[in-house]
Amino acid sequence: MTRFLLKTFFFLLPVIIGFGILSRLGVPPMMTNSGFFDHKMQWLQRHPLKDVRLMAAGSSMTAYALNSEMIVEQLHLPYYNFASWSMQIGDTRVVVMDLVRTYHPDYLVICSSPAEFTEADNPTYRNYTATSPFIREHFPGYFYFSDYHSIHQLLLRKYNSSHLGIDEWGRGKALFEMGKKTLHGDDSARADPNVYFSEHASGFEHQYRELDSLCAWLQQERVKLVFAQAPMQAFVGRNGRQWLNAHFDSCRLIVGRYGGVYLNYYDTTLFKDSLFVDPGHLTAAGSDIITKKLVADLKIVIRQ
Amino acid sequence: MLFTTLPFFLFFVAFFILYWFVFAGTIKAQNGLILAGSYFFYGWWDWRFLFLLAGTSLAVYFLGAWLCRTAREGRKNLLLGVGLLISLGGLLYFKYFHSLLPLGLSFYTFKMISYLVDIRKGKTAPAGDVVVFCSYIAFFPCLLAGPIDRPASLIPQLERRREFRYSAGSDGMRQILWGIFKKVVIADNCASFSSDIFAHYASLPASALVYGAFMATIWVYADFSGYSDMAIGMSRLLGFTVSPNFNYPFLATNIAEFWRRWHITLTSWMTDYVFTPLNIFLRDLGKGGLILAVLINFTLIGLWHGPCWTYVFFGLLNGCYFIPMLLRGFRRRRAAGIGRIATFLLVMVSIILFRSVSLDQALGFYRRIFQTSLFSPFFIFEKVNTVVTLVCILGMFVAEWAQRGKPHVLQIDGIRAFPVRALIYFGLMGIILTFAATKNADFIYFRF
Repeated sequence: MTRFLLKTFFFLLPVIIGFGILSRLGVPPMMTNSGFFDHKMQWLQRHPLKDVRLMAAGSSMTAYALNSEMIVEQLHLPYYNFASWSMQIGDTRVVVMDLVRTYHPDYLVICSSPAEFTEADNPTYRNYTATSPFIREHFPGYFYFSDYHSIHQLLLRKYNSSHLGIDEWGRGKALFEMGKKTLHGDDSARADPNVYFSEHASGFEHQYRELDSLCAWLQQERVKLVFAQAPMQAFVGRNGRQWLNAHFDSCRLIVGRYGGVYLNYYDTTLFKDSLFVDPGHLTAAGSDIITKKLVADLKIVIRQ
Repeated sequence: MLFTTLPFFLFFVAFFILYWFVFAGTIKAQNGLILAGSYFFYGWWDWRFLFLLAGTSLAVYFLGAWLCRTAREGRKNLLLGVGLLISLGGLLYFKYFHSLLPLGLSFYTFKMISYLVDIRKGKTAPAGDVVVFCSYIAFFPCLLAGPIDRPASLIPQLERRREFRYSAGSDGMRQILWGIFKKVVIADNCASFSSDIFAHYASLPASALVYGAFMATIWVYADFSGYSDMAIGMSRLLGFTVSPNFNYPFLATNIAEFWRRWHITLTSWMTDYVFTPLNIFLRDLGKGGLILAVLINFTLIGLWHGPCWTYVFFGLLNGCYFIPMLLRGFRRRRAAGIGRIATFLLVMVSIILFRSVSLDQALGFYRRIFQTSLFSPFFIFEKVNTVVTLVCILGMFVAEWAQRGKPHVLQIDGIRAFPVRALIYFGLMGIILTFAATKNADFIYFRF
């Protein structure tokens, strides 16, 4: 038996050493299937936050639309933007519950778009948050094995990560560095809103329940939710007005039910199509406008 | 808890330590641990179905004991009937009339049936105690997808003292390594490629469909045989010898030989408990009776997979492949290479049925595959993974051919130099770690 155990150890040892070397070479493990989220979490490990009183969370809308410097300068609150691409409201709920327990913020801002209500939840966020914070902090190598991704995939992610840049408050940079032409050319993003919304009806039902749970939990934890509807290009409202209004009403009702603040920045006269890089994401100029409005509204909320 | 995940690895390491270092004192303690570990493993998936597994196991155990004690033939038949009703009833109900299918049901039901039938025929004695019997049914390496070991093979091993042997342990580890390679590098990658093609078959040229059918065939083989290798290897680590389930089926030179090498424990189970009695019953019909018995047997093999027409026709088509051989006799020989290619193609054609989600999809696939676009180029996503997978498939076949006389490919004790053997193991581990598929898919036979 001893010989067997020693030999097994001899064969397994290089695997452990190999992943140790990968880690040293700066090839991190995949904690979720979102490169952006993982990058942010790894950045936070290297730059731990002391205090967060205002927290932003959600999808790429929140990740790119909020001008961090403007928020920090005008609100004078310790702030961090934890948002990441493609997060559904259910994913945001799972991540927020974890983050609130860690940072105990007073305010949570979600800058939301209907796209966050369309898909099923991403189970990798659940797996990540279910992992003990101790393991996440002290044994990040655990993620090399917990949901195995091949070395080939790790290297692919590592060498395709030039677009993951964030500022010191977590805001994504890459969207503003992309050419507008690339994003405008995406026909799928310009699909008929009526068809798009009706195709994703079941997603909406599920995500409204998730939003409801999130709002109830935040109320219980005494975290003030500020839920802002992000603007969109005019064609969305032109072709899918009924859907959009129903969506706005549902969100307003849910957020209001638990004492949250509901804001709606869907205003096609203020946010002209030229302020977007695609149907939902704002340019740098557009994001400055929405941040100004949000800061003004947040000042009122904080004063109350 | 898939065999290829971290939770199972931790579970198995803990189990192995307890099994050999804490509970090794008595057979009863080891068997108790096997039962507890197996129920824990099964309950991890869905604890509700533990009651079905434990309940039917207990019922079959007591019926078996009663069957053995009873002298009257009529009562024996009655007890056998009740036992079959209990075990088959659960299978039929969940498989054909319920939306949820308990994992491994088809496999452990077959173990229960063979236990009762073998006792009735006097081929085997009932298990000495209830823990032994329940451990035989629930033995976790083989619980979810076989091999379906007969009671006469596994129960005696549970009743005698087991000792760790280095040679068996290291051989088990090698077989597990080969199984992991087949599952995560070949099967999971092939699953992803073939799924894309089957999902979009209506808009793809015939050449892509041939590629998809090829990938699906390799997927089913590598997935199931990979699982079996891991199950057999783990059993060896625990001191058991379980029956082989695959014997390099793609080296078969005709379809009859293929089925003797493919899912061996199911095929031999069906031969013993269905085909042979049926053949005896139909013997007065001559060759017609034999053909009928083969067709019924294979249709039932198809139906065993699930209540879908695709499985029924998959079985029936494989049965039909036997007809020319049954009519002409098995002696006709041709070049082995041609035989192998022809057999592979026949299997590939039937796998289209197996892989399709509906008969409509399968028929549509067949219609499109026999078109002039058979030689049209098509776009392949994930080029690196595709090339790696194709090279690994080639490597697997070459290794299987070279090792065809051995129980598994990594039995390379013939190579005397340890560094060379170590290089092979490390090379294989390197390929696994570097090119494992993105998505760790469930084992295909778990759904049966």
